[in-house]
Amino acid sequence: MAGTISMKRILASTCLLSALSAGHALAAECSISIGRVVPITGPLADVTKDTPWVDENKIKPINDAGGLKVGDELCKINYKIYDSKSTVAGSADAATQAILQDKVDFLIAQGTPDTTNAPSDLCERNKIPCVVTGVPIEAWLLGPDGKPKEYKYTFAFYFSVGDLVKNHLGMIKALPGGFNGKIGYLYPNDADGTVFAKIFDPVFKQEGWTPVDPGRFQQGLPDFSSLINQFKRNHVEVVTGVLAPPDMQNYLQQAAQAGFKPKMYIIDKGTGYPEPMAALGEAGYGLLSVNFWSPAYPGNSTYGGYDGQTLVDRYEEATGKPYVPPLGYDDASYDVLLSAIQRAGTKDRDAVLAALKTTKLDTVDGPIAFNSQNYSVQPLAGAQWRFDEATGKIVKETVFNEVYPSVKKTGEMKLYE
Amino acid sequence: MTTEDFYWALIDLANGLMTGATLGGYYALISVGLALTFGVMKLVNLSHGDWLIVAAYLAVVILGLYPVSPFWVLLPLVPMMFVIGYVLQRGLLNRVSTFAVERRGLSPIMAMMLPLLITFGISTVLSQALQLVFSTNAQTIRNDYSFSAIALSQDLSISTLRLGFLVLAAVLIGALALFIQRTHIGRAIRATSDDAEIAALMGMRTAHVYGVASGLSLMFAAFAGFMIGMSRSFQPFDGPPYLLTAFGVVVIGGLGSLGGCFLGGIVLGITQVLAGTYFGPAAQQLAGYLLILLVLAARPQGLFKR
Amino acid sequence: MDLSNLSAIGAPPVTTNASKSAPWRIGALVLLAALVIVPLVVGTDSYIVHLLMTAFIFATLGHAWNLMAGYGGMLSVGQQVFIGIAGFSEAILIYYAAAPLVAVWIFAGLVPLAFAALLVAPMGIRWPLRRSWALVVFFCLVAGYEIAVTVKPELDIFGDNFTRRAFLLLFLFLGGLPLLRLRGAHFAIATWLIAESVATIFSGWPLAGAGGGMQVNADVDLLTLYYLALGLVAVVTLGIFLWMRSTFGLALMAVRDDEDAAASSGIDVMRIKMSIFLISAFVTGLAAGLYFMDAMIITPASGFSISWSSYVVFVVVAGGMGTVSGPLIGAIVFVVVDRILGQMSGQGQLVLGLMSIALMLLLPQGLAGLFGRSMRRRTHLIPFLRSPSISGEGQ
Repeated sequence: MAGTISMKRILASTCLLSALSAGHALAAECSISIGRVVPITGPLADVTKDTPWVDENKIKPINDAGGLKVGDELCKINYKIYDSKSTVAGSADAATQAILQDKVDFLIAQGTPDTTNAPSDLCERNKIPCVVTGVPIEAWLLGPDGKPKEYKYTFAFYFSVGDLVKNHLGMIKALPGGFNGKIGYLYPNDADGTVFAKIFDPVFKQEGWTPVDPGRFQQGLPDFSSLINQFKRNHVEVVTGVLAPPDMQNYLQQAAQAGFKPKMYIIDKGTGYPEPMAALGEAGYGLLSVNFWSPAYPGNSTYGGYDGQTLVDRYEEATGKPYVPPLGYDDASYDVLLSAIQRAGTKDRDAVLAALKTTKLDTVDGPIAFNSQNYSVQPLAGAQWRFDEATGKIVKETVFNEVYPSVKKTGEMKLYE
Repeated sequence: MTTEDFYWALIDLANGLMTGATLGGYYALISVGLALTFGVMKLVNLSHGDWLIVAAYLAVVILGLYPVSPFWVLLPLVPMMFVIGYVLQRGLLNRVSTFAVERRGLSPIMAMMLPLLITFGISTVLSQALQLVFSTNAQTIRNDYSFSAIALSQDLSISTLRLGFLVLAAVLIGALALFIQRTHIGRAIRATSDDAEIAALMGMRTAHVYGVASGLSLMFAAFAGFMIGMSRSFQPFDGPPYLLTAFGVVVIGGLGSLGGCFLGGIVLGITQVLAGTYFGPAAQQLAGYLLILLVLAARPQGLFKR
Repeated sequence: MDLSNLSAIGAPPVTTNASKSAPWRIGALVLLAALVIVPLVVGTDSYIVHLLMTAFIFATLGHAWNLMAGYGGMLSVGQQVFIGIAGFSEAILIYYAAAPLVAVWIFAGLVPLAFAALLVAPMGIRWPLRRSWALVVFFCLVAGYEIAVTVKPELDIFGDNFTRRAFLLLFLFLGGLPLLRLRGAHFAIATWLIAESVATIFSGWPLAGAGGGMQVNADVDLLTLYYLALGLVAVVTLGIFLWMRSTFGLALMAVRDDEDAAASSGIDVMRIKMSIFLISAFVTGLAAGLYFMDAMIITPASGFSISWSSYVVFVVVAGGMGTVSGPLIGAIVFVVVDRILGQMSGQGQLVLGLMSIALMLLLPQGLAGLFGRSMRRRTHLIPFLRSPSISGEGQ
């Protein structure tokens, strides 16, 4: 495939570039090296499909103009992509390689807790300023007993589960035709499932609703029929959960076979990307989920000056593929880092760290400003998958924006059919 | 206990047995190929799960080129996988068969290890190659049957596809048994699996026989992969969990036994669904693992092997 | 034959050719000395130091597996269960007890050892009657604990009902499983299943972070880890070298090549299998402990991943199975392929897969087989028996 080949070529050339620059570290010339840890191979590779397009889009214009103005100097920016292999161990290797072998000045890590958390910890140990995104704030911040970790060198921005709760609660309350209070859970026993169940359960109970919780299950559960019977027996009207695409399809098929049709499905994770939804076919129309980034988000990129829509248009034109939501975050993570370096006026780590703390930046994800725990919560909105008869494709429409009214609505919420 | 509770208790039990049994057909089809290679060549094929996924992707590609009704895809897919299996065995795996390893003067332990390692390597290469070609997008074989069911009562229904695959598994396994008993090459396969050295001494072309067995194994992988694609979505890295399931079925049924595969699949399916019904969904897979371990401990020759 | 007093590490080697092994000893000492001063030469935070440390860890894991498969004939594909348990006990000790480094590391070895002891427990007790008694006693203890928890919920150290019951029942079950009686493919599948079952429970255990895992925030620097790993691999290598030359080693190989024949010639097969199983678990735990202190994070998916087994198998087989030098050579090949070639090509896993296929075809005896005559002298310790069938799988 053309995309893969060009990606490899760019990867190779950047490798070469940074190898050369590492070899000739001329003191006179200013250069900044940024390591970017992302899953290139393995099951999570979908999450960062926009790599390395997004890097080229951001860095090339700056380098073409002579470099980034840092203090009085123009600094060339070298980025290098490190493959996390979609595993925790792989992301630790990648970060170690970036820090110890290539001695990068800064690190960016993106895409699910499995990719971001090991680099975060390693940045703390090696005292490297690090920006992470693509990980819900709580999954990055909280330890197993719910206590927040203390990060000094790592900064995160993404949506928070707290906002997600508000969003889902609002969507259920806005259910057209009222709600009988019976809510079914589909939470697996993976990282997302356990965290979501822990956070959502008390909130739903507080609303006076009756949860029907079959319990945590392992991904790849062969049979959902006993769960579905439990939902049916208890007259569940709303089903909510976090399902990976294969589980989502398996569940929806078995629900259809059993003739179980709730008024509303709110399913996260599997609903994030267009391809698995297209694979679902009609069963996917009307599924509700969260929109954690879309071109409808407010704000402009500080480096490049474009808004979300322009970014998406450029991406789709260059690659011929539909955009993926992490695009906005990947773009903004460079903005955060570049702005901090510029404001520090040097690439000295302590100075950049201080500048990162006082970040106040407009990005395609909306404004970013880090709090005392080093994170910034970005907007989210409720979304629904629809079949667009005009184009014959499925689209994700923003149907609920009460939590962040700055994200524009593109349609009205409908019942699941 | 109210009448409604009683009603649901009955529904749960009936659903558990029925869904479990149909799930068993699905499991049986997944594991026949593994049982075959093990039975004939003592080859533990660690890439078995990935071949299922390869077959599913091939089906999607063929259907993308020729958009016909999905079942027609089996017509080119099954022979294609047979050829792949035959070539793979003759070209690669025969070099590390028990025979070849002994000829090279290596220890019996190596005869066990080499195929394991080589098939493990194949497994890695296959999944990585699938990712390079198809990216990690979830794919599925679109069809009209995956959402349909035969309703037995208001709250009891049986998946059309899974019932179909249960029947298909029974028919195919029966056909394979007949093939092995009645045809010339089938008898050669049996003789080779009983004692490869004697079979070779009697003039059987072991390399060819192994090739055919491997081809048959992948032929079944084609059916199973098609079935996976019809009833679920799949990604390049989905192979190993299927391999583990297949191992479980083969252990329960007795290593290398074909009929055992069928019954073993059904026992595993029913155990999982019933455990899920009564102890919560988290117990589904755990109960499956424990059942397999129990069989290993108490009857290592399998439940259905005399 | 009573092996118990001969099997200790450091027992006098029975077959030593002093004149031939002297250069080897000097070579090994020089190599060790060189490795000790490497960090001083290349800098203490050099990537080379990290790569070498990784190689030491994988060599140790390789030794542990080689002990079981290469010398003992027990083909395990479930080493990840010891690795995951080691990592999680470390993480739990650091997070909840803030234990000191040394204690944490020792526990990373001891907990897998205890788990391995549970797995081989039924073998230690000869009389079936007593074995069932042990199970009954354990079952009563579990039931008592269950009642105690309903009365006093704070006694529940597992944090939730499902995890507690699943863990205790699994332990009960594994305690009754005669793992070491299984042979060949049966043993391999059983080890994999045990690892999967333990992983299933860990991924639902909120106290251990459930699927999200835990931070392993040990207060340790790369240099300390380097020397710990170097010390570990040196001790383990020497230990195995001496051990395999003792009567125990010979008995072990007799067991591997033909269990029944070994048993009939008076070797206590179960005791031998048990000792290498336990040692293998302990050593694997120690190596994994160092690995996770360096990686700083463990999740059930990463700790209990089947890829651990594939890496370890690659290390041993690439180097040479059933040889002392095999895991050492294999670990270096692994690090070069996985960390260096992989990153350069962008397809590390693919390269590793292709490499293992190629190696199996071209060099089934591993790279150790390529070395000179003195190396071959060592490999001949494994008599390449040509028995008509693979030892007893499919029985």
